[in-house]
Amino acid sequence: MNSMSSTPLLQIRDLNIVFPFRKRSITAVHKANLTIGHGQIHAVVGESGSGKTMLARSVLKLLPPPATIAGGSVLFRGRDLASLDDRQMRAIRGAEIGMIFQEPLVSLNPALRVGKQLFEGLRLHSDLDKGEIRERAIAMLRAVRIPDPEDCLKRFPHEFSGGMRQRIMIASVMTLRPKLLLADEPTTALDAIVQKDVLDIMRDVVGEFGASVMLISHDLGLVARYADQVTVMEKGLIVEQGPADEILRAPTHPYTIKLLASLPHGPQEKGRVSETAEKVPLLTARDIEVHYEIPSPWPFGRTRHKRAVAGVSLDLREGEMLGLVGESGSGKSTLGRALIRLKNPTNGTVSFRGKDILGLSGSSLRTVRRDLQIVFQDPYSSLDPRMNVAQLIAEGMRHLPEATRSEKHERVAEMLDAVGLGEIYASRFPHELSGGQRQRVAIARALVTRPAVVVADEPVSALDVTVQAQILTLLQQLRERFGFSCLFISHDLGVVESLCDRVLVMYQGRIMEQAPTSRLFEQPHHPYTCRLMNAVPVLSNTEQGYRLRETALTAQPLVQGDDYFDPMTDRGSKVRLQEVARNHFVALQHG
Amino acid sequence: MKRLLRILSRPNGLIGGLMLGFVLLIAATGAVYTPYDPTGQDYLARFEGASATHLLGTDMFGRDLLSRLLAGAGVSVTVSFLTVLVAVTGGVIIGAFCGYWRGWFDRIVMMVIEALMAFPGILLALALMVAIGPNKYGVVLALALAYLPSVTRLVRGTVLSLREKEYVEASVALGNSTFYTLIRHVLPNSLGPLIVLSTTMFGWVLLAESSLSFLGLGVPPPAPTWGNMLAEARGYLMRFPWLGILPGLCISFALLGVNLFGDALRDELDPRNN
Repeated sequence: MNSMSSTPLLQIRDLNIVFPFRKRSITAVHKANLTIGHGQIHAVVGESGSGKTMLARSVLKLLPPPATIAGGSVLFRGRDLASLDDRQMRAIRGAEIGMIFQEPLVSLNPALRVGKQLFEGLRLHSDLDKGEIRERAIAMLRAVRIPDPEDCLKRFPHEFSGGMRQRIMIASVMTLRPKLLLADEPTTALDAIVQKDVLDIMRDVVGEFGASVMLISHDLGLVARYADQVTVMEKGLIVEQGPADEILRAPTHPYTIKLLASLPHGPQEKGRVSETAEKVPLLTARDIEVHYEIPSPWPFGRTRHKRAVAGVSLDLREGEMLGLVGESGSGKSTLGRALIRLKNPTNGTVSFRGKDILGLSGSSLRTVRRDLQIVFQDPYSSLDPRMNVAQLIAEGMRHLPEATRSEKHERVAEMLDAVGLGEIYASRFPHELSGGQRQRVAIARALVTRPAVVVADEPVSALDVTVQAQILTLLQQLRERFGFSCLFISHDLGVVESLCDRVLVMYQGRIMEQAPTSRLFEQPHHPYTCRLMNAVPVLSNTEQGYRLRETALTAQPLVQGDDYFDPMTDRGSKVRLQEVARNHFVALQHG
Repeated sequence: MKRLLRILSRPNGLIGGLMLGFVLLIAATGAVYTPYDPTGQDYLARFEGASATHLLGTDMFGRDLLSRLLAGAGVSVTVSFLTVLVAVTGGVIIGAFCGYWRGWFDRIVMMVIEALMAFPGILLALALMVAIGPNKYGVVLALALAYLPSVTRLVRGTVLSLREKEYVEASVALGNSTFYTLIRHVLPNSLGPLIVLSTTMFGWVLLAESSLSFLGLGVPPPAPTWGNMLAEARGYLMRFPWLGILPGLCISFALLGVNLFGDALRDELDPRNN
């Protein structure tokens, strides 16, 4: 104890973690060395399968079986954790080392009130009496900025949003004042704005108690914003380690350089915008509304409706890449599906090449579907597991009666080649492919009929950063080659900025702002757009290496008498899109 | 054919296949050649143990057990297979339809199905048998109806979750008809649990048939089935256990064969396991 100031908080030395299998064991982490000092935020960065989670879990000795530590040591405050038995280990878990998981929904027990879960740890690890425990919990909830802590204790986890749940999780871990906090992708499941809130709170709370954090993440922007030290992992090996700003300024290992280069690199060359802006609209939507039915709990009772899309008009022009951004629940996916009639809009019109498509049915609808394709977010569920790659791609051509068998075969081979997969992949099944390869197959399937419009619904958000960059490049190439128009749905502003010609910002089922990409990113008008942009940490490549681009954008002032439309306060009131500059529209309150 | 060979190349497929093949062979030929007349009674040779004259002994009426088991195989196996076939076919059609289209039709059908499920299957079959009258096809129909609800529920459930999968949406986006999507993408992916249920059901039906026989409503005596032999043996189990053990063993044997083969079939049909 007396040497506390000199010994680092956590020291991992030559740690090996292996999965011992009968035939041969697989090494998950190889000879890892890592030191975390007092009051530091140390980020461990890597793609899926890099072993970063294993490394974090080994600190708590909570490795998923059959993984075991096969050498090396973990020293916590100078004590070797390997020498501790289960009982001693339990005393450390929670009290001295706390852990926050990725999914706040599953890491809080849905059947227990928040209060009970907050008190649990304190009852176990401290000898405070009931009143003191309660006070401590309330103080901690206040520290994570929960509005009404007393009330919060009485509620159940499902009554809170994902961000609030993650704050409660932080509070429940921090009530015990642990010296080290392991945060495993704590905000990956959350939206940008909420993510910033949660991480800011975590940094503040941790700073207040002088604790250290081991932050597991795949997001280099986040790392740049919050971490002091960075460890980069690749396939179980630590490839680079050091102070965050130094590594971002001058990365040395090729893998780190590759990771950084995979980030969306700012706006594309200008000039394209005006080109497409003048073209004829290919797909036109007017006042689209999509309602979801919420069935009544009573038989024959009245069903209620939720408006997922609440009146959206848009034009997708010939050859255009139109970005659609918004947080989860904003209705962007529903809108994308409604445009190609995978969901039937409740109100409004959609026309393709000037012809209404909402009235179509039967074979005429099937014919138009050839021109309207979609690429889904999750390549793991968008491919039928029982079909091989050739069958999957060929399925798109079932309704091309003029194509012969050998022509179809050729087309499949051609598409496979176009998406960068060789013909050897034709007989593979989806489970034999990686996420990126699956997404390539999904793209090939969508493009095999040479559609005029492709809706890409978050096509890269389930993929690792480096794969993400490859798929985006591929999408660009294919667009140049086949010349389709694309509605690119994403929550990632960086990707949209580097890829799209125009951007729509959607919030609560409505369009808040619409502008050419460069214009929107330079001069956002609507307060929501500004909030969104401020929340996203963007790394930009400068002469001095990668730099975090922090923005503090504020909404542009309006002419007197006008007000920005805010769907949170103006429920039901009308909205109008005002053109503030050429092709730049902003949602205002209908006055 | 290539598929069948591949199934047989799996250990469980080979063992299950051999067992099942043996049972089917007996079922097909058992009635043609039996050492004795399976219904012929011999009051001088009741309750005899295994001997050279009666290889597996005789029952309470002096009927040769081996002959009865061989002859009974045909009836038992036909009834079980037909029942499972009818129940699964009906259940898949109704379940798939309800799960995919949902709406008012689904609500009404599922209400009826749930009402049926409230009765024990055997009770339902009993009521139906009383209405139809005891004969082989009556048993098939009654038991199939009794087991239809569980198949329907299972298929509806899996279809309900599969229809939300993105590959189903992708199929719609490609311009495929609903029927095609259902046949090509939804049903094949619900095959796994369905095969498990069917093979388990095969066992239930073998036993249920015996219960019906026991209550005098199954395949009418003196025609032998494994089920009614088991039922008849009940009164003599303490003194002459082999009367029950032998048909019981036959049922277990057939059941194990079907289950092993079913598992191999399920694995073979799923590309993820190859």
